[in-house]
Amino acid sequence: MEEELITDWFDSYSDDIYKFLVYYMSTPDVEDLVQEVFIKAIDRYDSFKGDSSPKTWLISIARNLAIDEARKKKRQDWRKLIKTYDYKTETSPEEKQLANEAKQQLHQAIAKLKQDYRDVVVLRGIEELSVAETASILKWPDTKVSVTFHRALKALKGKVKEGNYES
Amino acid sequence: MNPNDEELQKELKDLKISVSMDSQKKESMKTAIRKHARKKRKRTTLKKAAIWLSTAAALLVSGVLVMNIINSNQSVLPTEEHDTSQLSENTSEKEPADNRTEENTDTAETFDNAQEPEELSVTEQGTENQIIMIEGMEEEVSVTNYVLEPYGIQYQMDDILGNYTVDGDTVRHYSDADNTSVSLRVVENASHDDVVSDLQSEYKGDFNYREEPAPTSQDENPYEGIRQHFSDPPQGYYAYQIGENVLVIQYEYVIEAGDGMGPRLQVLRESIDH
Repeated sequence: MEEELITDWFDSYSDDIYKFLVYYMSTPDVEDLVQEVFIKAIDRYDSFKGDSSPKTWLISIARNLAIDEARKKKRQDWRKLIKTYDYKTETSPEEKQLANEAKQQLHQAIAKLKQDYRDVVVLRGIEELSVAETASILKWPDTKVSVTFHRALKALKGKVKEGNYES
Repeated sequence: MNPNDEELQKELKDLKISVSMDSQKKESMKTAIRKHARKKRKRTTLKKAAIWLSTAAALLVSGVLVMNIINSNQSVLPTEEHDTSQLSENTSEKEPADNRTEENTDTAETFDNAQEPEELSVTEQGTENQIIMIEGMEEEVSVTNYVLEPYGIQYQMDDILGNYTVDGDTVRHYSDADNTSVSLRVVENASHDDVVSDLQSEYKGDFNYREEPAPTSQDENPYEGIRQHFSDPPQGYYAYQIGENVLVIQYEYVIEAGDGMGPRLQVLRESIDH
């Protein structure tokens, strides 16, 4: 793979990959994983057929790395994650506190979902990727993406209702 | 999508962060990535050179070997006749063995026949009365219990659709006027997601109304399923995962039957049991 090409990809997509990994790993400390994604892309470039966009291909590599990392359960830092949100200056400290609590609760509920559900919630719900892009990353048919997203939202509502998260 | 889902989706969108990586950190990462790309390219070039050299060497060696074989064959040509007679003897000895192979093929065919799947059939298990709601009014209807064999899948069908025919892998229930029908079939060793992909190609027509595929309610029966409805005329399907097989139910009715068909299809969905 040419140096110029991977540099272009890095300039265009590194922030997207960073954000995806932040949502998926529930922590902002994912820079080393971002680098790992691009290193893997260089090593596996022969398998990139160009059917999907470079962005979806890179996200699918990021997802596999994130799954491996999640198995090690090393990451997840809710407090740091919540600090990444910006609020308008007129937002009162109380409002910020409430909004942060709601966001933390939602992040924790997402982290408790089963793998398939977490995938579609992050890709379709947070990243707002299209059904086709999500299908390409997850290597699923389009129908499965729509149906699983439905089910995932239902499950997520249940988890939020259950509550009882660690602070 | 209900309003609750929309609200939840909005909350999910709000989880988007606006931060990006530190630019200094990015530069150092970029340097590391470029370095890796250079290394990889160097390794690939070396690998290609090694492959090219070994292929060339192998071609050279095999060329020399072929030349030697040609030379040695030319010196033993007179003995070829003897070899041919030996070859024909060997062929005649081989014949009984070939016959045995044929016998084995016959046995395999017989075995294959024994493995052929049983044909689809339907058995009736009596009738019962049920109360359904049509436009908010209770109505008593008579339903028949059926079992789809050889799968042992039970279901109930309103007697309005009491006529049925079994054609190949499908049982089709239909009304006296044949303007309303419900067909059932079982796709073996399949996942309902794959079956739905195939079903969607059957409904590619130009419909006024087309619902998105959606999960079926597990309050109706315990099986995971997907449903989709189209009109006009009203029609659609349910695909339920029952063990390793998928039960596909397809329906179609005239628009005048609309009010009564919904509750009747619900009776069918609720009755599915295995």
